[in-house]
Amino acid sequence: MPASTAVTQGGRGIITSRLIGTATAVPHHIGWGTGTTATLTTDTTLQTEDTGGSPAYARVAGTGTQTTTTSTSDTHTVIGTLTSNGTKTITEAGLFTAATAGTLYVRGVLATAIALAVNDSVQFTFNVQITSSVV
Amino acid sequence: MSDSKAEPLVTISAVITRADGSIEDLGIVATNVNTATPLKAKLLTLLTKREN
Repeated sequence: MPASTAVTQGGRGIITSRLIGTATAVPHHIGWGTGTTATLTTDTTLQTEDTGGSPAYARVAGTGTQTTTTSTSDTHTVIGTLTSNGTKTITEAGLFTAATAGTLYVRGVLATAIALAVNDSVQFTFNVQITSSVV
Repeated sequence: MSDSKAEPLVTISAVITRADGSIEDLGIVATNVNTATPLKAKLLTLLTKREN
């Protein structure tokens, strides 16, 4: 399963909206799922978001910070931990602006499926580095 | 195949904590950072040295 990830087209709108101070929510809600179709920038949802189980699975609000990859504060980092409510195999994850629905900011299809049992947890770290080249 | 572009650069990392407390660091599980170009450059350097 080849990995793929990107800031979505909706995510681009979130970035520019935040820059001009409009009311778009912060994209720090982490969801996961079982889709394996490669990421497209036109994605607006995870392919097959996990919402099942009992209690029903819910997105987790991660912690967002500015971090440094190449130059000071050039990276948006979101860290959050999701705990499995059953036996499942996770193949995709994403960042949203809300606990339900919301706008998809980043989607990633994982290079390797993550097999989980109940009460296993996964800490995801999303890094989005803003870069610019001089041509 | 993906239509991901090189900018912004996205990496997703994952660390599993099993119910028994054991930890598995999976490292980067998805990225759109293109590593092909440095590899090609390295191969080209090696080939050039061999030709000399």
